[in-house]
Amino acid sequence: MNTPASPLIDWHALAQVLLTSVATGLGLVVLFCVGIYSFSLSRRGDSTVTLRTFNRVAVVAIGLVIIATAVWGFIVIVSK
Amino acid sequence: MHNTFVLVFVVLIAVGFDFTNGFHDTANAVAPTVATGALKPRTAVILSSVLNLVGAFLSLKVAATIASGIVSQGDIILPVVVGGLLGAIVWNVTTWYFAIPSSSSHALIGGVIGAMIAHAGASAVLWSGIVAKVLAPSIAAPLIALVLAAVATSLARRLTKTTDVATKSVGMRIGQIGSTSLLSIAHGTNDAQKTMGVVTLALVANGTIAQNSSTPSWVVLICALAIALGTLIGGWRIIRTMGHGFTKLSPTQGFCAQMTSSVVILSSSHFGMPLSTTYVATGSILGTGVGTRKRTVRWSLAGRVATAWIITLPAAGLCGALAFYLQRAVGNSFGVVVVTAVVLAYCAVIYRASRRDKINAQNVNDQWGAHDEVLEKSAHVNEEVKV
Repeated sequence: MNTPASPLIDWHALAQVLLTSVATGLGLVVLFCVGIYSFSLSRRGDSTVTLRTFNRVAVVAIGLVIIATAVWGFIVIVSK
Repeated sequence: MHNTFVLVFVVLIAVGFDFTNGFHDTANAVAPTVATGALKPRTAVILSSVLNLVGAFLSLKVAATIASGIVSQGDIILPVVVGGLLGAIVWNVTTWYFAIPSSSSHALIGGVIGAMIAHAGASAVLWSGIVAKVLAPSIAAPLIALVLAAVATSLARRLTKTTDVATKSVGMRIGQIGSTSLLSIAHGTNDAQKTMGVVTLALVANGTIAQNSSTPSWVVLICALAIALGTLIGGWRIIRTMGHGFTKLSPTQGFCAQMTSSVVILSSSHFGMPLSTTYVATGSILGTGVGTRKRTVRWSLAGRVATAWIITLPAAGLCGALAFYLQRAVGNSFGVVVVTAVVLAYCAVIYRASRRDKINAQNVNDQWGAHDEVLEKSAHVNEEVKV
């Protein structure tokens, strides 16, 4: 039985690159924008204390997620 | 003695290539940061060069050499490596003069292919490897980056529509500094490794170090310094094209372009399908233009750049082949000296020509249209004087 020839282009790797880029890239951009929006709301004088606190917590949480992703990216670079 | 002489030249030429790689690719990491004013031009370039240096030291595993899977490994001799490197330098310097962002990796691959064809014929080239390693990524990289950046910009625009302008502008600029840093480290890791691989290959071919031995520390040091120095000098001409030529970048667009570039480059490296940094960065910037409400992109310039990408491989190949033939015609050791001198003279001519239309940290952010008008006016004045 003939073994199938290895494909010229690694479609599997390309699909993985595409999916990871879409998920991480769009995820980070959306998170960052929501973080900026929350930060903007947390500084508004006309909002309630609860809302301002909620927005500050959201900004910190989003910041931590983004830093964690950057650290993961850094580890990817180093461990390559 | 003869081989040692050639080896020293190979190392010097490889470091020279690394240097041109640095100033050619600075734009990929810093152009949006410079264009949107997130950092001052000089500060952005210094940050990028320091992080390129750090990146070059971070991963000391010599990646598969640039020629792996592209040409027959058994046919590689030092003059082929010299021809490949010199061909790539000539193409890098030429595209730099015309302010066209083009891939240094593809220029090097083209140079090596050309020199190899001149040495051992077309049968020594692994054409399937070129489709897999050059052609497919050349098409995939800008397309993935373009679509992703367009969607990201569109989303970012909608999500921050009601955010106050000052907070949004400052936030996006901070985000840009972070993504520029990540991109610069990734660039240092990838591109300095490539030259380290070439120098190590030459040392093994000469018998200076044993096969499978690790890269000597001095090789790591000089390659890291060369790429950092090249980055520090900064390819202002290409930064200008990337930052202002394709589209007018806002802080939101700059952030989206750099974030998507970083993510695509890192994930492609992680999954073992490295995509060209230049192509990804260019695709991202075009994508952010498409993602805006008015979709203002200078497609004529994009077309010019795409044409340069298409001819990179054959043009660098031709230069590599000529460099190889010239070496052989003059004679082995002396041939390397002569061909290096010819390339150095060419670089000097190009540098001198570039001084007539000098672009530096002071005028890199001048309005794109105004710059063209000035050039057109000066051309008219010259014509009138001649008449």
